[in-house]
Amino acid sequence: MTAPDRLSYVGEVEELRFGEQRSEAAVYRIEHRAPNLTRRWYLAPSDLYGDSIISRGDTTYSIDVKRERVVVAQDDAIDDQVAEDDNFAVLSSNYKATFAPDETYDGRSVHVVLLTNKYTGEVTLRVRIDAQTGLVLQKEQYAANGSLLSETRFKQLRYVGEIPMGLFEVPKGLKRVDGPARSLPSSDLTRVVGGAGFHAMGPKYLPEGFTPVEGDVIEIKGVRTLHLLYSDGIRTVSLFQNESAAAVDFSHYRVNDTTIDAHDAEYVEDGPTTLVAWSVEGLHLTLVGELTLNELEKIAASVSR
Amino acid sequence: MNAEHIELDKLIDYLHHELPPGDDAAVMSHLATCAACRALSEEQAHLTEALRSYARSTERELPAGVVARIWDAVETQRAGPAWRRRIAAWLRPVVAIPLAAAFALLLYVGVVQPRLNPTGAVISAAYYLDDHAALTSTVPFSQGNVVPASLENDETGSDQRWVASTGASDIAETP
Repeated sequence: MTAPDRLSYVGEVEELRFGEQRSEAAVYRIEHRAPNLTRRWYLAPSDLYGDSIISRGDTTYSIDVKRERVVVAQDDAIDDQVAEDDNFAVLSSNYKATFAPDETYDGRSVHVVLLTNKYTGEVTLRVRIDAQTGLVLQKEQYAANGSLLSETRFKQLRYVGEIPMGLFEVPKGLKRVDGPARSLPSSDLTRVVGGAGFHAMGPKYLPEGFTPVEGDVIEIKGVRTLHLLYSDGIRTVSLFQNESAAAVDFSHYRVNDTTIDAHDAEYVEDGPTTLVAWSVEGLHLTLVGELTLNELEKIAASVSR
Repeated sequence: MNAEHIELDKLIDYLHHELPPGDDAAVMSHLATCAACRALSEEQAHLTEALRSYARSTERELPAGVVARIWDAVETQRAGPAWRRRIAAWLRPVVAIPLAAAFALLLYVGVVQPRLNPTGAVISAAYYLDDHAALTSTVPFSQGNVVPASLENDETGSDQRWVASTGASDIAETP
């Protein structure tokens, strides 16, 4: 869950995400050697059993045993301190942090921090932090109606002095495959939008506290796509748009029909994340976020030039 | 702020430098003389710092892969019969009506659909979900993908390319 640069530890992590149509869970053993070496061995779901991910700084090696390959990917954003500080400022301006009474969690004394949305008054995040080390041992994110959206929890945590370097070696004999190399996303959205190559749209309505934070332009299968991210510091919404009106393939998802401002639209739910896709004025638009379908439809209906 | 102490919300806004100058000065002056409010202020500052420290140290899930499942599945499963057998199958009356319908569909796909979808590209919903998770990686408490795409899918990033990334830090207005 967390990888602080001064602590080495081993343990087990459970990640759960709850959706109306589908929920997801993963369990993995984690070994973290300070400052930036982490290995996660997946125990669940069953089709990931035996696979692992080694992170070395901003490079990640996904060891896929069944496909006998290692996917090597790089993400410069992992070290993007400026963006993190900007996003933390957004969080601070939209959420009030308060301490709840201390508790014991998995045998350790923890501080409990509640992040309450300033506009709705609802607790959005509950975080349990190891009182001794500052490591986050558990966090729960809630929807606006109070239902649990996601939970991440550490179990059987043990702080250790040293972890053998060999654990972070990438196994030999597996085929190496390049994953995506992600550059730094930009918070200079004017520049990003200018690089899209078409007259982009933006939402006129966003939930209270949401602001544009980052963006980039990607080519997916040759289709130039503008990706803008909006956030209130915890919750996020992405707006994708491309001029080529590329169709969206919803295979593996249960697709539903809806309308956005009288335009036909489709949506799918992936755990607590909802994706809405529709076309308007020659642009194909896709909105993705952890908000309710109602909120996403409201944002979608406000998207215009 | 009441006559005695500073309200918590106002204190938090003060700590985040969000108060108008007059209120900011009033809170600052009150803190200089009120030990109780000073203690509360220090507790809030500590809390903010703890959260910031966590936000900085959070390990983010990297959704390394990108997905295009359907065409792979379709291509794999499309082990069609030999041409002669196919032609014979087409001549059977039982397929005549479906064939006509298929012809109409082909007309739509070949003539009408290209106008709506000029590139013919089909982008998996998983691409958007993965990219959304990737770009949220600098948001302090972002969850990312529970199941990493790099282990879940056959596809890699080879058909995805970053075009514009300036790494600039100035927040700009909404487009």
